[in-house]
Amino acid sequence: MFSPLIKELIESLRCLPGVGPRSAQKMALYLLERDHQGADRLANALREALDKVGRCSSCRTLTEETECQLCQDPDRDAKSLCIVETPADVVAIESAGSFKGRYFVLLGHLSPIDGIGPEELGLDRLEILVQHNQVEEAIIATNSTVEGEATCHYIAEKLKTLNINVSRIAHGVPMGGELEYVDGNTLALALEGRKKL
Amino acid sequence: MRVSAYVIHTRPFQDSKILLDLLTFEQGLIRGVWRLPKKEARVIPGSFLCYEVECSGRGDLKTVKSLESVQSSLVLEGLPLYAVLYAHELLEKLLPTNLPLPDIFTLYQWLIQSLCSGVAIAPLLRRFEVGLFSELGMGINMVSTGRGERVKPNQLYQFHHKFGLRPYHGETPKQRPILFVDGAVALGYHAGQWTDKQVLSLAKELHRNWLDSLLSGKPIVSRGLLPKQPFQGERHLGVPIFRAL
Repeated sequence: MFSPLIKELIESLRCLPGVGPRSAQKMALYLLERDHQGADRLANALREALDKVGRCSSCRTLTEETECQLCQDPDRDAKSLCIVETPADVVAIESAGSFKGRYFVLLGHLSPIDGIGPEELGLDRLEILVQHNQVEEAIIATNSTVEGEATCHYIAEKLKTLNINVSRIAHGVPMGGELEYVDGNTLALALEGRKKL
Repeated sequence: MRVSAYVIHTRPFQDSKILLDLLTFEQGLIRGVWRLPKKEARVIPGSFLCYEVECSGRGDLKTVKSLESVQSSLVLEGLPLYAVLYAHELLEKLLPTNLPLPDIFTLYQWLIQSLCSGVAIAPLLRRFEVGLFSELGMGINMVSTGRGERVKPNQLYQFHHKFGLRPYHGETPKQRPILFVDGAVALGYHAGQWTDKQVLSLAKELHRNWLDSLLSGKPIVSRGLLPKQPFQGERHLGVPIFRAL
Protein backbone atom coordinates (compact mmCIF):
# COMPACT_ATOMS: atom_id res chain seq x y z
CA MET A 1 0.00 0.00 0.00
CA PHE A 2 2.84 2.42 0.86
CA SER A 3 5.89 3.23 -1.21
CA PRO A 4 9.22 1.78 0.00
CA LEU A 5 10.38 5.09 1.55
CA ILE A 6 7.17 5.56 3.53
CA LYS A 7 7.24 1.90 4.60
CA GLU A 8 10.78 2.37 5.83
CA LEU A 9 9.79 5.50 7.78
CA ILE A 10 6.90 3.64 9.44
CA GLU A 11 9.13 0.71 10.35
CA SER A 12 11.80 3.07 11.71
CA LEU A 13 9.33 4.87 13.96
CA ARG A 14 8.37 1.54 15.50
CA CYS A 15 11.70 1.41 17.32
CA LEU A 16 10.31 3.99 19.75
CA PRO A 17 8.91 2.58 23.01
CA GLY A 18 5.14 2.23 23.02
CA VAL A 19 4.82 2.81 19.27
CA GLY A 20 2.98 0.03 17.46
CA PRO A 21 2.28 -0.29 13.70
CA ARG A 22 -0.85 1.89 13.79
CA SER A 23 0.78 4.68 15.80
CA ALA A 24 3.88 4.56 13.58
CA GLN A 25 1.72 4.87 10.48
CA LYS A 26 -0.16 7.81 12.00
CA MET A 27 3.07 9.60 12.92
CA ALA A 28 4.65 9.04 9.49
CA LEU A 29 1.58 10.32 7.63
CA TYR A 30 1.26 13.30 9.94
CA LEU A 31 4.86 14.33 9.37
CA LEU A 32 4.69 13.86 5.59
CA GLU A 33 1.26 15.40 5.07
CA ARG A 34 1.00 18.16 7.64
CA ASP A 35 4.32 19.10 9.18
CA HIS A 36 7.24 19.08 6.77
CA GLN A 37 9.06 21.67 8.84
CA GLY A 38 8.65 19.63 12.02
CA ALA A 39 9.81 16.50 10.21
CA ASP A 40 12.88 18.31 8.94
CA ARG A 41 13.69 19.58 12.43
CA LEU A 42 13.22 16.10 13.90
CA ALA A 43 15.48 14.54 11.27
CA ASN A 44 18.21 17.13 11.85
CA ALA A 45 17.99 16.93 15.62
CA LEU A 46 18.17 13.17 15.53
CA ARG A 47 21.15 13.19 13.14
CA GLU A 48 23.01 15.79 15.15
CA ALA A 49 22.30 14.10 18.49
CA LEU A 50 23.44 10.75 17.13
CA ASP A 51 26.65 12.30 15.84
CA LYS A 52 27.50 14.38 18.86
CA VAL A 53 25.96 12.89 22.00
CA GLY A 54 28.23 10.56 23.90
CA ARG A 55 29.00 9.75 27.52
CA CYS A 56 30.24 12.20 30.15
CA SER A 57 33.87 11.36 30.87
CA SER A 58 33.20 11.71 34.58
CA CYS A 59 29.73 10.39 35.41
CA ARG A 60 28.88 8.52 32.15
CA THR A 61 25.50 10.16 31.64
CA LEU A 62 24.49 11.30 28.14
CA THR A 63 26.02 14.59 26.94
CA GLU A 64 27.53 16.18 23.83
CA GLU A 65 30.33 17.74 25.86
CA THR A 66 33.33 16.01 27.38
CA GLU A 67 31.81 16.59 30.81
CA CYS A 68 28.07 17.01 31.40
CA GLN A 69 26.62 20.22 32.87
CA LEU A 70 26.13 18.64 36.28
CA CYS A 71 29.77 17.61 36.50
CA GLN A 72 30.91 21.07 35.34
CA ASP A 73 28.71 22.91 37.84
CA PRO A 74 31.02 24.34 40.58
CA ASP A 75 28.06 24.62 42.98
CA ARG A 76 27.54 20.86 43.06
CA ASP A 77 29.23 19.05 45.92
CA ALA A 78 31.85 16.74 44.41
CA LYS A 79 32.32 15.01 47.76
CA SER A 80 28.82 13.58 47.63
CA LEU A 81 28.20 11.00 44.91
CA CYS A 82 24.94 9.33 43.92
CA ILE A 83 25.26 6.05 42.04
CA VAL A 84 22.38 5.22 39.69
CA GLU A 85 21.65 2.63 37.01
CA THR A 86 20.64 4.80 34.03
CA PRO A 87 20.68 8.42 32.80
CA ALA A 88 16.88 8.40 33.32
CA ASP A 89 17.52 7.85 37.04
CA VAL A 90 19.70 11.02 37.09
CA VAL A 91 16.76 12.96 35.64
CA ALA A 92 14.39 11.41 38.23
CA ILE A 93 16.60 12.36 41.18
CA GLU A 94 17.26 15.83 39.76
CA SER A 95 13.53 16.42 39.45
CA ALA A 96 13.18 15.63 43.16
CA GLY A 97 15.51 18.60 43.72
CA SER A 98 16.95 17.50 47.06
CA PHE A 99 20.34 16.17 45.99
CA LYS A 100 23.13 18.66 45.31
CA GLY A 101 26.04 16.33 44.74
CA ARG A 102 27.29 14.55 41.63
CA TYR A 103 26.39 11.29 39.93
CA PHE A 104 27.86 8.10 38.57
CA VAL A 105 25.81 6.12 36.05
CA LEU A 106 26.42 2.36 36.03
CA LEU A 107 24.62 1.86 32.69
CA GLY A 108 22.93 -1.27 34.03
CA HIS A 109 22.98 -3.61 36.99
CA LEU A 110 24.46 -7.00 37.85
CA SER A 111 22.53 -9.60 35.89
CA PRO A 112 24.44 -12.88 35.61
CA ILE A 113 21.71 -14.49 33.47
CA ASP A 114 22.24 -11.73 30.89
CA GLY A 115 26.02 -12.10 31.18
CA ILE A 116 26.50 -8.83 33.10
CA GLY A 117 29.01 -9.23 35.91
CA PRO A 118 30.99 -6.66 37.92
CA GLU A 119 33.46 -6.05 35.06
CA GLU A 120 30.72 -4.83 32.73
CA LEU A 121 29.58 -2.10 35.14
CA GLY A 122 32.75 -0.01 35.01
CA LEU A 123 33.37 -0.17 38.73
CA ASP A 124 37.08 0.50 38.24
CA ARG A 125 36.10 3.93 36.87
CA LEU A 126 33.86 4.48 39.87
CA GLU A 127 36.75 3.78 42.23
CA ILE A 128 38.99 6.18 40.33
CA LEU A 129 36.28 8.89 40.45
CA VAL A 130 35.78 8.39 44.19
CA GLN A 131 39.49 8.74 44.85
CA HIS A 132 40.02 11.63 42.43
CA ASN A 133 37.12 13.72 43.80
CA GLN A 134 37.90 12.71 47.39
CA VAL A 135 34.29 11.63 47.79
CA GLU A 136 33.13 11.50 51.40
CA GLU A 137 29.69 9.96 50.92
CA ALA A 138 28.36 7.61 48.25
CA ILE A 139 24.60 7.19 48.02
CA ILE A 140 23.60 4.07 46.15
CA ALA A 141 20.31 4.56 44.31
CA THR A 142 20.00 1.38 42.27
CA ASN A 143 16.53 -0.03 41.64
CA SER A 144 14.85 -1.98 44.38
CA THR A 145 14.87 -5.22 42.39
CA VAL A 146 16.81 -8.41 43.14
CA GLU A 147 19.52 -7.36 40.69
CA GLY A 148 19.53 -3.76 41.94
CA GLU A 149 19.99 -4.92 45.53
CA ALA A 150 22.82 -7.28 44.55
CA THR A 151 24.50 -4.46 42.64
CA CYS A 152 24.11 -2.16 45.65
CA HIS A 153 25.70 -4.69 47.99
CA TYR A 154 28.59 -5.34 45.62
CA ILE A 155 29.36 -1.63 45.19
CA ALA A 156 29.00 -0.97 48.91
CA GLU A 157 31.55 -3.69 49.70
CA LYS A 158 33.97 -2.19 47.15
CA LEU A 159 33.58 1.39 48.35
CA LYS A 160 33.85 0.57 52.05
CA THR A 161 37.47 -0.42 51.42
CA LEU A 162 38.10 3.20 50.38
CA ASN A 163 37.02 4.44 53.82
CA ILE A 164 34.04 6.53 52.75
CA ASN A 165 30.49 6.65 54.05
CA VAL A 166 28.22 4.47 51.94
CA SER A 167 24.44 4.73 52.20
CA ARG A 168 21.43 3.31 50.39
CA ILE A 169 18.28 5.24 49.52
CA ALA A 170 15.39 4.24 51.79
CA HIS A 171 12.52 1.95 50.83
CA GLY A 172 9.02 2.75 51.93
CA VAL A 173 5.44 3.66 51.31
CA PRO A 174 5.09 6.08 48.34
CA MET A 175 3.67 9.55 49.02
CA GLY A 176 -0.09 9.40 48.65
CA GLY A 177 0.06 5.61 48.86
CA GLU A 178 -2.51 3.57 50.76
CA LEU A 179 -1.09 0.86 53.02
CA GLU A 180 -3.75 -1.60 51.92
CA TYR A 181 -2.29 -1.65 48.41
CA VAL A 182 1.40 -1.63 49.28
CA ASP A 183 3.16 -4.98 48.72
CA GLY A 184 4.40 -6.99 51.70
CA ASN A 185 8.10 -6.56 50.96
CA THR A 186 7.88 -2.76 50.81
CA LEU A 187 5.87 -2.66 54.02
CA ALA A 188 8.38 -4.91 55.80
CA LEU A 189 11.23 -2.63 54.71
CA ALA A 190 9.24 0.48 55.63
CA LEU A 191 8.72 -0.90 59.14
CA GLU A 192 12.38 -1.87 59.41
CA GLY A 193 13.51 1.63 58.41
CA ARG A 194 10.94 3.49 60.54
CA LYS A 195 11.86 6.90 61.98
CA LYS A 196 11.60 7.94 65.60
CA LEU A 197 9.28 10.92 66.00
CA MET B 1 -4.10 -22.09 34.04
CA ARG B 2 -3.31 -21.19 37.66
CA VAL B 3 0.18 -22.04 38.96
CA SER B 4 2.42 -21.41 41.98
CA ALA B 5 5.56 -19.67 40.82
CA TYR B 6 8.75 -17.89 41.73
CA VAL B 7 10.11 -15.17 39.46
CA ILE B 8 13.57 -16.22 38.32
CA HIS B 9 14.32 -13.43 35.87
CA THR B 10 12.70 -10.40 34.25
CA ARG B 11 13.58 -8.66 31.01
CA PRO B 12 12.17 -5.47 29.53
CA PHE B 13 9.94 -6.24 26.56
CA GLN B 14 7.92 -3.22 25.55
CA ASP B 15 7.30 0.07 27.28
CA SER B 16 4.49 -1.37 29.36
CA LYS B 17 5.34 -5.09 29.35
CA ILE B 18 8.07 -7.33 30.70
CA LEU B 19 9.12 -10.90 30.04
CA LEU B 20 9.01 -13.13 33.10
CA ASP B 21 10.85 -16.41 33.59
CA LEU B 22 8.88 -18.32 36.20
CA LEU B 23 9.76 -21.47 38.10
CA THR B 24 6.40 -23.11 38.65
CA PHE B 25 5.37 -26.15 40.65
CA GLU B 26 3.04 -27.40 37.93
CA GLN B 27 4.84 -26.61 34.67
CA GLY B 28 8.52 -26.27 35.56
CA LEU B 29 10.27 -23.29 33.96
CA ILE B 30 7.88 -21.20 31.87
CA ARG B 31 8.21 -17.88 30.12
CA GLY B 32 5.47 -15.28 29.96
CA VAL B 33 4.65 -11.70 29.07
CA TRP B 34 3.20 -9.52 31.79
CA ARG B 35 1.66 -6.09 31.41
CA LEU B 36 3.04 -3.80 34.11
CA PRO B 37 0.60 -1.84 36.22
CA LYS B 38 0.35 1.87 35.39
CA LYS B 39 3.48 3.90 36.06
CA GLU B 40 2.47 5.24 39.49
CA ALA B 41 2.21 1.72 40.90
CA ARG B 42 4.89 0.03 38.81
CA VAL B 43 6.60 -2.74 40.74
CA ILE B 44 8.58 -5.46 39.00
CA PRO B 45 7.74 -8.83 40.61
CA GLY B 46 10.51 -10.83 42.20
CA SER B 47 12.06 -10.71 45.66
CA PHE B 48 11.73 -14.45 46.34
CA LEU B 49 7.99 -14.36 46.86
CA CYS B 50 5.83 -17.28 45.89
CA TYR B 51 3.13 -15.97 43.55
CA GLU B 52 -0.13 -17.40 42.41
CA VAL B 53 0.02 -16.79 38.69
CA GLU B 54 -2.77 -17.02 36.19
CA CYS B 55 -1.52 -17.46 32.67
CA SER B 56 -2.86 -18.51 29.32
CA GLY B 57 -1.56 -19.51 25.90
CA ARG B 58 -0.54 -22.74 24.20
CA GLY B 59 2.80 -21.61 22.87
CA ASP B 60 6.12 -21.36 24.68
CA LEU B 61 5.46 -17.74 25.63
CA LYS B 62 2.44 -17.47 27.93
CA THR B 63 0.38 -14.40 28.72
CA VAL B 64 0.50 -13.71 32.43
CA LYS B 65 -2.96 -12.41 33.37
CA SER B 66 -2.52 -11.97 37.11
CA LEU B 67 0.21 -12.32 39.64
CA GLU B 68 -0.43 -12.24 43.36
CA SER B 69 1.99 -13.03 46.18
CA VAL B 70 0.81 -15.73 48.56
CA GLN B 71 3.40 -15.49 51.31
CA SER B 72 4.97 -12.95 53.60
CA SER B 73 8.12 -11.23 52.46
CA LEU B 74 11.62 -12.68 52.53
CA VAL B 75 14.52 -10.28 52.66
CA LEU B 76 17.89 -11.48 51.42
CA GLU B 77 20.95 -9.32 51.23
CA GLY B 78 24.68 -9.68 50.77
CA LEU B 79 26.11 -13.13 50.13
CA PRO B 80 22.76 -14.96 50.34
CA LEU B 81 21.53 -12.66 47.59
CA TYR B 82 24.50 -13.56 45.39
CA ALA B 83 23.80 -17.24 46.16
CA VAL B 84 20.25 -16.83 44.85
CA LEU B 85 21.54 -15.14 41.70
CA TYR B 86 23.79 -18.17 41.23
CA ALA B 87 20.85 -20.55 41.72
CA HIS B 88 18.79 -18.52 39.24
CA GLU B 89 21.56 -18.69 36.66
CA LEU B 90 21.80 -22.47 37.03
CA LEU B 91 18.03 -22.88 36.71
CA GLU B 92 17.91 -20.65 33.63
CA LYS B 93 20.79 -22.41 31.94
CA LEU B 94 19.99 -26.01 32.84
CA LEU B 95 16.22 -26.39 32.94
CA PRO B 96 14.20 -27.12 29.83
CA THR B 97 11.04 -25.03 29.54
CA ASN B 98 7.49 -26.33 30.06
CA LEU B 99 8.58 -29.58 31.70
CA PRO B 100 6.97 -30.22 35.09
CA LEU B 101 9.70 -30.60 37.73
CA PRO B 102 7.89 -30.20 41.07
CA ASP B 103 10.88 -31.38 43.11
CA ILE B 104 13.01 -28.56 41.72
CA PHE B 105 10.35 -26.07 42.78
CA THR B 106 10.46 -27.55 46.30
CA LEU B 107 14.28 -27.55 46.23
CA TYR B 108 14.36 -23.87 45.26
CA GLN B 109 11.84 -23.02 47.97
CA TRP B 110 14.00 -24.87 50.51
CA LEU B 111 17.11 -23.01 49.29
CA ILE B 112 15.73 -19.50 49.64
CA GLN B 113 14.16 -20.23 53.01
CA SER B 114 17.43 -21.73 54.26
CA LEU B 115 19.40 -18.75 52.94
CA CYS B 116 17.14 -16.46 54.96
CA SER B 117 17.95 -18.36 58.13
CA GLY B 118 21.57 -17.22 58.01
CA VAL B 119 23.31 -20.63 57.86
CA ALA B 120 26.56 -21.24 55.90
CA ILE B 121 26.00 -20.78 52.18
CA ALA B 122 28.38 -23.30 50.58
CA PRO B 123 26.67 -26.46 51.95
CA LEU B 124 23.28 -25.12 50.83
CA LEU B 125 24.49 -24.47 47.31
CA ARG B 126 26.17 -27.87 47.04
CA ARG B 127 22.99 -29.58 48.24
CA PHE B 128 20.99 -27.54 45.75
CA GLU B 129 23.33 -28.58 42.93
CA VAL B 130 23.07 -32.25 43.90
CA GLY B 131 19.28 -32.00 43.82
CA LEU B 132 19.35 -30.22 40.49
CA PHE B 133 21.65 -32.84 38.89
CA SER B 134 19.55 -35.64 40.28
CA GLU B 135 16.24 -34.19 39.05
CA LEU B 136 17.70 -33.63 35.61
CA GLY B 137 18.87 -37.26 35.48
CA MET B 138 22.52 -36.25 35.68
CA GLY B 139 23.27 -37.33 39.23
CA ILE B 140 26.82 -38.18 40.30
CA ASN B 141 27.39 -41.70 41.59
CA MET B 142 29.84 -41.66 44.51
CA VAL B 143 28.77 -44.90 46.16
CA SER B 144 29.88 -47.45 43.56
CA THR B 145 32.49 -47.62 40.82
CA GLY B 146 31.75 -47.65 37.11
CA ARG B 147 31.87 -51.47 37.30
CA GLY B 148 29.30 -51.59 40.07
CA GLU B 149 31.64 -52.37 42.98
CA ARG B 150 30.85 -50.62 46.22
CA VAL B 151 33.26 -47.83 47.16
CA LYS B 152 35.71 -48.76 49.96
CA PRO B 153 36.52 -46.05 52.51
CA ASN B 154 40.27 -46.80 52.56
CA GLN B 155 40.78 -46.86 48.79
CA LEU B 156 41.81 -43.93 46.55
CA TYR B 157 39.73 -43.44 43.39
CA GLN B 158 39.96 -41.46 40.18
CA PHE B 159 36.73 -39.93 38.93
CA HIS B 160 36.07 -39.73 35.18
CA HIS B 161 33.17 -37.93 33.60
CA LYS B 162 32.44 -40.91 31.39
CA PHE B 163 33.34 -43.91 33.56
CA GLY B 164 32.58 -42.59 37.04
CA LEU B 165 34.79 -43.85 39.86
CA ARG B 166 37.75 -46.19 39.26
CA PRO B 167 40.15 -47.52 41.91
CA TYR B 168 43.52 -45.78 41.71
CA HIS B 169 46.73 -47.58 42.63
CA GLY B 170 49.33 -44.97 41.74
CA GLU B 171 49.60 -45.75 38.02
CA THR B 172 49.60 -42.93 35.44
CA PRO B 173 46.00 -42.75 34.22
CA LYS B 174 45.49 -43.28 30.47
CA GLN B 175 42.80 -40.63 30.51
CA ARG B 176 43.01 -37.62 32.70
CA PRO B 177 40.40 -37.91 35.46
CA ILE B 178 38.34 -34.97 36.71
CA LEU B 179 39.78 -35.56 40.16
CA PHE B 180 41.13 -38.09 42.60
CA VAL B 181 39.08 -38.84 45.65
CA ASP B 182 39.49 -40.73 48.85
CA GLY B 183 36.85 -43.47 49.24
CA ALA B 184 35.81 -42.19 52.68
CA VAL B 185 35.22 -38.69 51.26
CA ALA B 186 33.27 -40.13 48.31
CA LEU B 187 31.01 -42.00 50.74
CA GLY B 188 30.67 -38.84 52.84
CA TYR B 189 29.52 -37.02 49.69
CA HIS B 190 26.99 -39.76 48.98
CA ALA B 191 25.70 -39.54 52.56
CA GLY B 192 25.38 -35.75 52.28
CA GLN B 193 27.86 -34.91 55.05
CA TRP B 194 27.92 -31.21 54.16
CA THR B 195 29.50 -30.21 57.42
CA ASP B 196 32.69 -32.11 56.50
CA LYS B 197 35.23 -29.74 54.91
CA GLN B 198 36.71 -32.43 52.68
CA VAL B 199 33.28 -33.40 51.40
CA LEU B 200 32.52 -29.74 50.68
CA SER B 201 35.84 -29.29 48.86
CA LEU B 202 35.16 -32.40 46.81
CA ALA B 203 31.63 -31.24 45.99
CA LYS B 204 32.81 -27.78 44.95
CA GLU B 205 35.47 -29.05 42.58
CA LEU B 206 33.35 -31.91 41.28
CA HIS B 207 30.25 -29.78 40.66
CA ARG B 208 32.30 -27.07 38.99
CA ASN B 209 33.59 -29.63 36.50
CA TRP B 210 30.20 -31.26 36.14
CA LEU B 211 28.52 -27.91 35.45
CA ASP B 212 31.21 -26.88 32.97
CA SER B 213 30.57 -30.08 31.11
CA LEU B 214 26.75 -29.71 31.23
CA LEU B 215 26.98 -26.13 30.01
CA SER B 216 29.60 -26.97 27.37
CA GLY B 217 32.03 -24.50 28.91
CA LYS B 218 29.61 -21.54 28.93
CA PRO B 219 30.64 -19.29 31.82
CA ILE B 220 28.57 -18.96 35.00
CA VAL B 221 28.81 -15.21 35.56
CA SER B 222 27.45 -15.22 39.12
CA ARG B 223 30.38 -17.36 40.27
CA GLY B 224 32.40 -14.13 40.14
CA LEU B 225 30.23 -12.72 42.94
CA LEU B 226 30.74 -15.60 45.35
CA PRO B 227 33.84 -15.68 47.58
CA LYS B 228 36.86 -17.36 46.07
CA GLN B 229 38.19 -19.58 48.82
CA PRO B 230 41.35 -21.48 47.98
CA PHE B 231 40.78 -25.14 47.37
CA GLN B 232 41.90 -27.33 50.26
CA GLY B 233 43.87 -30.16 48.74
CA GLU B 234 46.96 -31.06 46.83
CA ARG B 235 47.09 -31.09 43.10
CA HIS B 236 48.24 -33.88 40.87
CA LEU B 237 48.20 -33.59 37.09
CA GLY B 238 46.41 -30.30 37.62
CA VAL B 239 43.53 -31.91 39.47
CA PRO B 240 42.96 -32.10 43.22
CA ILE B 241 43.61 -35.09 45.40
CA PHE B 242 42.41 -35.57 48.91
CA ARG B 243 45.15 -37.81 50.26
CA ALA B 244 48.88 -37.70 49.59
CA LEU B 245 50.02 -40.51 47.34
